[in-house]
Amino acid sequence: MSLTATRVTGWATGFGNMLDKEMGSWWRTRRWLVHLVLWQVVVSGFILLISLEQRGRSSPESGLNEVMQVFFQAGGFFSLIGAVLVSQGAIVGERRSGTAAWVLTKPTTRKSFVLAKLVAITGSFLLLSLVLPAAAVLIISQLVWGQIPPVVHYLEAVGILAVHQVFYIAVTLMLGTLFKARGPVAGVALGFWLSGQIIPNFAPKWLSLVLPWSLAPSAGSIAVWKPLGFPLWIPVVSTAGLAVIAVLLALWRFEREEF
Amino acid sequence: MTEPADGIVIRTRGLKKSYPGAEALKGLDLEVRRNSIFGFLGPNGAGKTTTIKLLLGLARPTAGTATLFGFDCERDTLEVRRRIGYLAQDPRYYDYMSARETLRFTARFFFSPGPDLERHVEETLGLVGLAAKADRPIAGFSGGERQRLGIAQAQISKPELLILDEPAASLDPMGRRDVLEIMARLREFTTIFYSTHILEDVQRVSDTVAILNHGELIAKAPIRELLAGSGHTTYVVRLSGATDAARRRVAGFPWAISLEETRLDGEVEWHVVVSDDQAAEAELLRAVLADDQTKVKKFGRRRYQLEDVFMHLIEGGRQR
Repeated sequence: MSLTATRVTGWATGFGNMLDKEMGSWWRTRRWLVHLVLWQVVVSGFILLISLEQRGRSSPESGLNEVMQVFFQAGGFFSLIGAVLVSQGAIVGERRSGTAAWVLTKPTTRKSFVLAKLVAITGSFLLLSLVLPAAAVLIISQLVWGQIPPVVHYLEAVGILAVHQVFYIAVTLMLGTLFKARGPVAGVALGFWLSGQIIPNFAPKWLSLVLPWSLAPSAGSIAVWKPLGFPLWIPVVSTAGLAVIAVLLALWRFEREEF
Repeated sequence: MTEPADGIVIRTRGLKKSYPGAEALKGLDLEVRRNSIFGFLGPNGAGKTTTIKLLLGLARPTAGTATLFGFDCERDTLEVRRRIGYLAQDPRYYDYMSARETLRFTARFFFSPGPDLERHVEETLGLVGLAAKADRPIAGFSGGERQRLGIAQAQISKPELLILDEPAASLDPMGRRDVLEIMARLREFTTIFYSTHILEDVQRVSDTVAILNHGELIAKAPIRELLAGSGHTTYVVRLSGATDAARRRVAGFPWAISLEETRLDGEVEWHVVVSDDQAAEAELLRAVLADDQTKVKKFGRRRYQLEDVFMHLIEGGRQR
């Protein structure tokens, strides 16, 4: 028997194994099934009910427009809550249970530990809570309204919502490196989203533009090709930038953590 | 060969760790030789776990240095962790994984995946007696099974050094026996540094011992040396009958440093501390038996238990 030593060095040491473990926690347990059913029921089921309820009252065009707005706003809201709840315990939970300290006695870096979580949660959660429900909504639209929104715009809108969710995942992971309990982590992340429903009413317009608050409503308009009144790239780029800053902060803070 | 030429695997110099309002470790100087089973003793809160966390890079020292195999524990922590296996005091794993998945996950930090790695995992499961439960989720494991899994994951990389934090503390006697047997088996291949407060275990398996109290090293020696006491031999003699004359004779020998007498159920027990063991061996019993009225019930050198030494050192520390 000849065991071959791993060759990866530097910051990525242990990343592949950590990522495999994190993906395994989604796909080699029943977690994927729970999320699949949950998001199909909550998002796609909700959209199906709305569509059936609207079918007799609206024209196909206006019905589809309304369904798109509901999907990107309400669906965005539900999956945002989900993103925060899924990410809140990713670091805090492992620190409290002792598994983080155990893993970090193996040859892996703290960067690998955090980034593997980010990649696995982002990939798995977005697929289950956004991409698959979005595909289901297309099918529902075709079945109920006999048409679907322009595919390119629809994909663009889903992409915008993905940036929005990634931001909240990154921020929640970052908060997990700062706080020792789940409560403050989820509280601050959801508080930030809630403040986005209030602050834009009296804050300067540029503030709402550079923060992620305008992304979910914008996605609904983009899907049905409605003009926005502001350049979309600004909130997309700034939200993506803020997500990167949150990840960098998380890496910096976790590097200094003592167990 | 990765350790320095002097065969020192662990070396700390003035290692300190302070937390707000508490000094957990006060300048620890320690050396652990290759292929030893090194028992790291101390009461709760002595600084044992803090020392281990510093060695593993889980915490940063306030001052001083620690090197493993010549690598700095803080700066070269990845190099250090490639060479060690670690078992925590209260080991925690991912409960949704089985024992096999846990070992596979651990092994893949060190080795590339493939059939050889799978065989190695299987062998390791057999070594610690978990082959029959390999594919059950860990959530249902008993304390002893978790500890055996802990030892398996710690040594799956065939480490040059095993660091075990209280490996038998939470186990029943059977579990403790199993863990000590595994440790004794592993000593052929590796150096073992383990913390404990179970003195009986230390006396059974360790060859070198360090005792820590209040963050300070108060003793470090091979266990035989430590059990030999202060360097002077003590004889225990239990007598009945007339003992006054015998006592005067013994106390009169130039090698007799002290003679303490206690009375027990009509008998007398002497603890005679001697400076010259050979002379005492030749003359002490003869001097006692010289008197027909004196009957010897028991005679021999005092055997120190590690507990005696430990309590003496710890109590001494408290009086200081």
